[in-house]
Amino acid sequence: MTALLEIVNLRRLFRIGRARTLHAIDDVSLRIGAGRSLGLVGESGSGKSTLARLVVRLDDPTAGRILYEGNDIGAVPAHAFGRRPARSQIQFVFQGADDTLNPALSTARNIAIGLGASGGGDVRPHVEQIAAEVELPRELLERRPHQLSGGQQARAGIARALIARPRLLVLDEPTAALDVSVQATVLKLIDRLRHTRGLTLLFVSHDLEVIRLMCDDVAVLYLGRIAETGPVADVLARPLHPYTRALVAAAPGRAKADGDLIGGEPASPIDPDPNVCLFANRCPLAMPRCMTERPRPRAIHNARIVACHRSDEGDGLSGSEAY
Amino acid sequence: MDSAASTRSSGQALGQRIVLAALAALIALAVAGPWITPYDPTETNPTAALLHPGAVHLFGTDALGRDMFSRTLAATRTDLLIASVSVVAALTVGSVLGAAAGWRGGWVDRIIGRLMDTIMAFPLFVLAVGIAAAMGNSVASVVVATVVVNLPFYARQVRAEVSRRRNAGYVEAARLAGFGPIAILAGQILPNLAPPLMVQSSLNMGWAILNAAGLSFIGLGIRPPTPEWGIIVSEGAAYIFSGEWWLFVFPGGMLMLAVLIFGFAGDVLRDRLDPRRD
Amino acid sequence: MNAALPLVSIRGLQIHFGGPQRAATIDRTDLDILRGDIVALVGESGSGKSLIAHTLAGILAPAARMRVERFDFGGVDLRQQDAPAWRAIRGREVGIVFQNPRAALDPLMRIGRQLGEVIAHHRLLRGRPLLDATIAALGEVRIPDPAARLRAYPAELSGGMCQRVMLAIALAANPALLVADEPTTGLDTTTQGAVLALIAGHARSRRMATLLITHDLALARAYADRIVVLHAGQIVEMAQAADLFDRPTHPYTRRLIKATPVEAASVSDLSGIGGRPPDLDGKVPACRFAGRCDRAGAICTTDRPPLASVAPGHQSACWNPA
Repeated sequence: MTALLEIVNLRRLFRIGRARTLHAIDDVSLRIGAGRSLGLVGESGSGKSTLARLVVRLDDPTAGRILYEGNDIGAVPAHAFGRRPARSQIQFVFQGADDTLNPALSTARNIAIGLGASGGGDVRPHVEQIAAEVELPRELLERRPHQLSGGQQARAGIARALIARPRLLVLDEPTAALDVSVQATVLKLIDRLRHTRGLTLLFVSHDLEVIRLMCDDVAVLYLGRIAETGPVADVLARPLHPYTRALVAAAPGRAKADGDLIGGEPASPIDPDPNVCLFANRCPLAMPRCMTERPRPRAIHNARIVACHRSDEGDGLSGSEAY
Repeated sequence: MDSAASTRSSGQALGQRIVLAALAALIALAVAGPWITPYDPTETNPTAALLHPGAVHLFGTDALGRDMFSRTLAATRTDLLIASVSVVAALTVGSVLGAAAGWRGGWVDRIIGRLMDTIMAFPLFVLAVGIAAAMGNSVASVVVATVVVNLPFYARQVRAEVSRRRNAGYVEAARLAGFGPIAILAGQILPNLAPPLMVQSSLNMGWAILNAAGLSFIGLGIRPPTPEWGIIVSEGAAYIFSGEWWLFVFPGGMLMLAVLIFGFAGDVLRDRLDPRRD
Repeated sequence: MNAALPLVSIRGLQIHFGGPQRAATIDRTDLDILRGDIVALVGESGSGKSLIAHTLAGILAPAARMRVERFDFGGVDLRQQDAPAWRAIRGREVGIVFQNPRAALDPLMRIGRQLGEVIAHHRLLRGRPLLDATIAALGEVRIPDPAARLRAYPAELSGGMCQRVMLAIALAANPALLVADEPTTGLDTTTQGAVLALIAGHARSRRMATLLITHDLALARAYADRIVVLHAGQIVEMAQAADLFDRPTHPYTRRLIKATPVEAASVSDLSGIGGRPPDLDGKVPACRFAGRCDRAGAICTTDRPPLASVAPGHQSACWNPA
């Protein structure tokens, strides 16, 4: 299957103060096949939101390539990307917040923003059509965003992203701010739209269960680095990286043994030691090699990729513990 | 949750309507002024000098026999015109500078900031006097002085509002859609700024009127015989102790009334224009 | 673990906001909490769950008008208690942990001092014994290297650490009841698990009643003995945690379970709940779920269903339970 999106050795560094550097994304490589849905899961500081913004070109990478249909869109600076034809093909659904929609404009005009500057002429029919597709009642189109419920605002945000008919949709915690009953409806909507429009999804979330339901594959990020990737059901049932295992164990609703919960605090992403596994300070399986050599992502089997020395040496999690 | 509109008492709503009606009346006076005055404001009549206010001359006459009522009324247009031109110019230039500073940040922000700080470092009226004196006695110098002195307020407000919204979700969505910075500033951010800017402008009008009147009072800017509140008050000031009170009370009172009306109107606008209400 | 007499007994709690025409935000609610019991109060936004937390902590906003028929705490009638009486109860008998721990801690005071103040107040310690007790308290909430952490300011600690400090403060006087209002919302998943395990562990070891307020049913199931489901200010179902999931009887509970991702095998298993809770300024049906319920009948709009027993230890407020 051809990859619609391929990320190659991507790095995003932020300068802090005069001499320090924050490694938000540190050598990440990923592929998403056309029509597939990849979940990006991680906690705060994992870099998942940074990665999402790089993919939609709201931000420029420090190094590495972002290949869309084989073309390096990362080479085009963010401020110049707006004029590219690929611009309309990659769209973004924001996390619901007060300022996701413009409070001074009507919902219809907010949705029409998605058509861009080239959306001249009569945009109204397009807006009404997409509103119907996201099940947003017509009479709400003339209202301002603050008059809509959280779920309706989420739909408007999705409509705005889809009105330009993108192929790749990146979503950053689209339902995190919603009540669970509303979240369910919006997730089903996203899933339905994905199938009717043949979308490829990059779904960022901290919630493993949402990723499980919405995605084919999952990539687990920790402090800007890939911990592991693979088909979502497989990764959740048989995690190969100790961090993934801890993440799965911490999710409520899953059976857990006492030793599964990890403590400690994440290492600092500022000027991290390049020769160290950043998870080592909290890892129950840490060994000397973890403090002297950074583990690289390596393909195992069944489309699984893991960055862990234990896995390399064959005495890591065997992946036979089922949940 | 209570809707905000319902917490406004009916007394408050009536007060707002009165203010807006007064504002409308003031503007109507400015527009119609010269045509509805009972006498020619500049026509002198030495035989009728210094008459008390009465049936024939509502506000009395001045030392040259000119009808005070007509002069005061006609001055409305002069003052409002000067003030509104100044405010609009200050708003425009200040907004552009503020938007550039707020959007670009970096050295653009720093330079514009220093410029605004420099202007604000002067006592505003002293600066206005300096500019008007340097440019000579004319309406233009009054306008320029008022514009320069008022620039920083708009620049600061717009800069703050723009830089606050620069990373808002809807702004990023517009960037994602391919809009350039000008389009975003004008189409996305400006509609959010319009209400606070309108409020600021209305409040500013009052100050601009005072500024124009003040400059004329000390002899800069407008020259007689053009009717203008500052000039009229300045001419009447000579008579404070001799008892011809109508020479400065009426024009001074109109001046004060105009400033008050614009001030209140600003409050009403602020109340009515919150984008989160309808 | 559970004494026969409840630690907290509330009958007919009503909380009103706004004008007299407005329906009550909390609508005549009864609640019992047994000693040593971990009770999860589950509700969505607007359900009023935080109001109940505030009532138990005696910190209800002045704008709220509260009426209650009975409010017993450990045998003491709290209905008429004034501020000084509440100050004695709060902190000593009731410990509180809130969402957003960083906001609850004084940003200008070192955490050692903040915690020390509370311990000194309740346990009347000073000097060296106080220092030792403070270090011990930090250790009990599993803060690594507690002696070094004493001098840290809240801004230097992560969200999870701040929450642990809050918990230590809440537990300082060994209260009989811990009220935790969304204690882990906003924290990372791994931290959430650790903090909740900590709370549950302390509840068990101290035989401390815990009211855990959350919007997350999965969390409630994982950590609570008993679950109380709140909808629009009305308790609709109460049961032992496992029982609630095995045999949910109230339509809202059933729909809520079906909306929770962890319970679904695939997206098609998920289903949301249409509509919204009733607008309190408009006409409010007697059973406030009636407008969104597919099992509603005429009586649901006019008569509020009482909480009735559907199985031992399991109650449901529905005219037409499943």
